[in-house]
Amino acid sequence: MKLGFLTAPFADTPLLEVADWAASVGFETLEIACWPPASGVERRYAGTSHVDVANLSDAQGQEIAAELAAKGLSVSGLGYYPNPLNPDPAHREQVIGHLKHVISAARKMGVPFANTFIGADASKNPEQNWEEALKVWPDIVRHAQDEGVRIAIEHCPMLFTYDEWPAGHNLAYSPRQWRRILEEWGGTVGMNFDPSHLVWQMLDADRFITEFGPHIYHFQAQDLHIDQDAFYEAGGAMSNGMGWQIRRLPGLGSVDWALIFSRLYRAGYEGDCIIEHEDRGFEGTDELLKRGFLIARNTLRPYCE
Amino acid sequence: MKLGFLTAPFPETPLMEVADWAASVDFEVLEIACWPRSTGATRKYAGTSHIDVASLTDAEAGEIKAQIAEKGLDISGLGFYPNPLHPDPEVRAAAIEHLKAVIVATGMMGLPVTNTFCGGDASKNVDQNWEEALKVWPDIVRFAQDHGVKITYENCPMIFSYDEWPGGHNIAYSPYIWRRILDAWGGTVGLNFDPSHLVWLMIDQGRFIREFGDHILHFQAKDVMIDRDGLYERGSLSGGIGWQIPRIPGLGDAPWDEIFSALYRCGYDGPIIIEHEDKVFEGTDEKVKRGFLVARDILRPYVK
Repeated sequence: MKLGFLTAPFADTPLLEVADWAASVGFETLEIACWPPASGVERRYAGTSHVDVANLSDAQGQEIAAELAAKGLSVSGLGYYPNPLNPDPAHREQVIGHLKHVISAARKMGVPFANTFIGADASKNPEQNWEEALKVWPDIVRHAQDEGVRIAIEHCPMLFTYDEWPAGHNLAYSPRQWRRILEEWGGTVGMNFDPSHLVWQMLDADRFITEFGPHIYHFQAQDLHIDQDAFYEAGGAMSNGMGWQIRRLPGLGSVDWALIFSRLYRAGYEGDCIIEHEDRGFEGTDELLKRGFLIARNTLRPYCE
Repeated sequence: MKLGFLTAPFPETPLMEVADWAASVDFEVLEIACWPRSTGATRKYAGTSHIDVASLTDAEAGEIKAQIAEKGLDISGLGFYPNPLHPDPEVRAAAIEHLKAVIVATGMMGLPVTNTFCGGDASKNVDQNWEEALKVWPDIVRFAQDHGVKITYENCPMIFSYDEWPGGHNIAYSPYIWRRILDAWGGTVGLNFDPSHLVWLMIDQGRFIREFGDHILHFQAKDVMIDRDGLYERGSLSGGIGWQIPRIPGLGDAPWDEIFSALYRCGYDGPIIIEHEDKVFEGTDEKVKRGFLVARDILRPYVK
C-alpha cells in the first residue's frame, strides 16, 4: 500500500513543485486535484486545479504521468468533488461536463480512478435523491466505461451548515444507498473510502468495511473528532453533524486506524492510502500544511507497506 | 415520588375504569389524556379523550378529582400533545384553542401542570422555528399564568418518518433550545422530561439532568432501544427513522439507575409517569396492561 496525499490544499503551488516536496519527505503517490481552473475556491478544500483536464491532450497526459514517475511518484486517482445532482440545471450541466473531462484525463494519464461525489439536492430526502441519481448517472457511467476508467465515490454526506441542510450534497453515505449504487453500477462505480465519515454518522467501521471492502477502489485517510460539548448543545443526533464534526489529521481524531488497516488488508484492498487534509489547526501557511501532512505520514506510515 | 402512567393507551375505557385498574395494581398517580373529543385517533398514541375539557364545568372538575382521590390516586397533570407551530393556520388555531381549554381544566381541577409540546414546522430549521415560537407562545404563556397553571414541554423531537422529516414536530429537544425556552418563559414553562429521547439523540443523561434538573416539572418514563441494524443501514443523519424503537422501561437502552440517581440528586420529587408506546405490548387491553406491569416492576424499586 503506497502512502500519499490529495493535492487540494496546495492551491497556489504548481503540481510538480508539490510532487518534489512529496517525494522529498517519503510520499509515494498523489491524488491530483482537478477542479476547473476558472472556478476558483468555491468552498474550502475545493477549487485546486493541478491539471487542466479540459484542455489536456493525450501527449500532455502521458508527459505529466512520466514526470511524476521520474520523481518516484504514482498517481492514485484524479479528484474532483462537485455536486452532479445540484438542483440548478446550469450548474449541474457544468459540473457533469467537467467531471467527464476528469474521467477522460484519467484515461489519458493512465490513472485508474476518477474520484468524485454522486451529489444530492439538499432539500430532498434520500429516496427522492436516489430517483434523480438514476436519471443523471447512467450517462456518466457509460462515459467512464467508454474511457476504461472507474469512478470512486467518496461516502461523505457533504453536510456542514444549514446551507447543505438537511440532506447534504452527496447521497452516497449510507449502507442503504451504497447497496443500490453497487447494484446499479458496481464494476464501474466503487467506493472512495474515508473512515472519518463513519465516526460522526455512528456507523460501525468494522461492519462497513466487511460489507463494502470488495468495492473499495480508493482510500482517503482523514480523521475526525466529535466536539462533545457542541454535540450535546445542538441536540445530538438530530443536528446532523452541524457544529460538532471536527475534521482532523489522521492520528488526531477518533478513527481507530489499527482496526481500519486490519480490515482493509483483510478485505484484500490493494490500492493506495491518500491523506486528505482539512484540519483547521494546520492550515493558513504552507509550513503549517506540510507539518500537518507529516503528522499524518508518521501516524499512517507503519501501516502502509 | 409516586408511580403511575399516562392514560392514552386506553382510548376506549372510561377514565374511572382505568383508575380502578391502576389502583388495583398499586399505581399511585395518573396523567390524564385530554385530546379533543371529536378528533379520534389521528396518530397512534394520540387522540384519547378521558376528560372532555372543552365542556368541563367547575363542578365536574371537582367531582372527577374527588372520585380519583377516593381510589387512592393523584393526578400528575393533564396531557395533550399537538403541534402548536403547525404550518397550516387552521390546524394550529385548533390545537392552540384546545390547548387553552386543557389549561383551563388544569386550573379548575387544581392540578399543577398542562403537558404538551412547543411544536415545530418540520420543513424549517430549528432557528427558524424558534422565531415562530417567539410569536406564538407568549399569548399561551400569559393564558397559563392567568389560570395559575404551569406548562411543560416534553423533550421529544417528534420525528418518526419522512412525514415529520427533517425538523420534527417539536423543537424542544436540544439543550440549545431549552436554554432559550427557559430564558423566555422559565417559571411558567418547564420540562416534561422523558429520558428515552436522549437515548437515540445520544445526549448524555447525567449532563442533561444536571443542567435542567431544576426545571423538570413532570417526568415521563419511557424507554428506547437503538436498532443497531437500522442505525447501520442509514446512519445518524437519518433522524432516528427506522432505528429508534420505543420500548417499555427496562426493555430499552435507558440507564434507569443513572437517571434516578441524577433525579434524586437534583431534588426532583414529582410523579414518575410511565408512557407506553411499545408495539410489542399493544393490540389488546391485556397486552397493554402486561406492558405497564413490566414497567411498574422495573421502576418500582426506584420510586419512593
